[in-house]
Amino acid sequence: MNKSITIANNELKYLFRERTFFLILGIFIIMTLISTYIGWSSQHTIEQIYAATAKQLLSEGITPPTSPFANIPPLNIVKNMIIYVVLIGSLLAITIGHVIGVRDRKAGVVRILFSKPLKKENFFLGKVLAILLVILMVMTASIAISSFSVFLLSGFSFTLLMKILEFYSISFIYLSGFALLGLGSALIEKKQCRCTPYSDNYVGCDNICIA
Amino acid sequence: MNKSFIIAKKEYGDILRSRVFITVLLLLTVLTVISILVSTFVFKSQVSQYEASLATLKALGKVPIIAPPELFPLNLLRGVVGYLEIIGAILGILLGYLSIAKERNTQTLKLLLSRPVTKYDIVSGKIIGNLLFVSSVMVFVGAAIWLSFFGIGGITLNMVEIIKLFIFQVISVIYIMLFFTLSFFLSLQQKTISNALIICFVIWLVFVRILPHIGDTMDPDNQVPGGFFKSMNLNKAQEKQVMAKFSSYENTRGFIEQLSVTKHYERISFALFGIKKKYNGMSMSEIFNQQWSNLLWVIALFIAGIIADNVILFRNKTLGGV
Repeated sequence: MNKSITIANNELKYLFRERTFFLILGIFIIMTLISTYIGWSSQHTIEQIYAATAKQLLSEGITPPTSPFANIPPLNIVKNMIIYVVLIGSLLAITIGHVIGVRDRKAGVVRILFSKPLKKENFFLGKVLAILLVILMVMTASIAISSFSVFLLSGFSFTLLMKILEFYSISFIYLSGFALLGLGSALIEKKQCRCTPYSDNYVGCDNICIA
Repeated sequence: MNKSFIIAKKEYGDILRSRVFITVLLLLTVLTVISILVSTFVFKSQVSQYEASLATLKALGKVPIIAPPELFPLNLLRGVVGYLEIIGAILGILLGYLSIAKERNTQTLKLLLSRPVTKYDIVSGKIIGNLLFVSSVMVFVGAAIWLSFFGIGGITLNMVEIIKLFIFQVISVIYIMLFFTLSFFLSLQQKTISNALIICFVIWLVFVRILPHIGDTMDPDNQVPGGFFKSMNLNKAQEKQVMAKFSSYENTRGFIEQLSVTKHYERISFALFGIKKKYNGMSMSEIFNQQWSNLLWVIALFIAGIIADNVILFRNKTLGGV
């Protein structure tokens, strides 16, 4: 178990140096931040549009129908998070899994690693631990952002907090599945290509093939 | 130029031999047929509903005032546009990525450049080869549309509709190739080629899925199934009068939508097919008068992509100076 933790720790250190990971993570966090605002702003404007429509109908002597937005639940303002988790979240999860899975093979250290007293189970468990930890961190950040923005706009409620926690718990399980898929595909991939600098004016592409 | 065509021919042959692309081709054809089949059933159900309402009104001794549903065959292609927006962009990204990945993996790009072939020949050859392949895919999609219309609904298209369908195919080729040039550029620019694919998919997500989704979320008419203004029994003039008070909100929504090339492509396609009802009675020139900016965006981005591909290949010292 101790060895798995060491591997997980190492994977995390490497992942936090990956620009692609930060690019997708950045987009996911930005979308989490702005999704509540977009939801709130749209809902607010649409309610105003209904009020303006009702006013116009009343001025023409027509009784307006009841507002279709009267019973909208407070968490409606974060409904866009569903699509962001499904789209950006799953791409982020696949990237995390793939980066963690492919790293040792790309660096050509798999054989060196297994020349040490390390079991395959510990190696795999370490990678899975790292993946789950990163996704947990991303989900925790999303919970914090969503909760703060919802409470700011709709007021604090324990029920709302529980529902947000519930949604992100399901999202955690959903994303973990995609991350493990990325890890699996990276581990069974036959060939990896990397580019390495040969000299100052020439950069070539190396074929690193690991059986 | 001759060398470009030799490269294009090789590129085209390679793609045709690849199983992945036969799969994509089959997928697009099947989706096209299914989409037309579903739209036809929806239209038939509208006609049945109309006939039932008509019979009820007549039985009650009332004079029917509802207009019967009118069939514009190209209206049935809404689903096809949607599939091409998403799958077409993915196809373009995969083509661009594989076009460079195969050369990088086998190191044949360097070998190619040791021959009397310029970088320009390589870029233009690869773009032409892939353009031919995408055009072939669109010919198949066009044939699937034509056969589905005839086979499912017994519909034959008139000359104007055939021209509209042809223009749609050309615009679709440009749209798909735009993503090809993006993927081609990133595959050359990134040191690790798998990163290029990931970045491409991030761009695809943002511009093809997320920005149009934000635009749709902000559309007041989309908030209620069947349309908000319809649910309030408002006509177009009244709707415009209400929305005039929210012009800045509408401008912001329009701006967000216009950031997405997919929305530009969708708007032209919907106008050509009359999916936006107001275009049904318009002539081709009237449609182009209203849609030229969207068309210009798609073409301009494609040209920018070609320029970027040339620039990156000429600047990149990976291949040695030619």
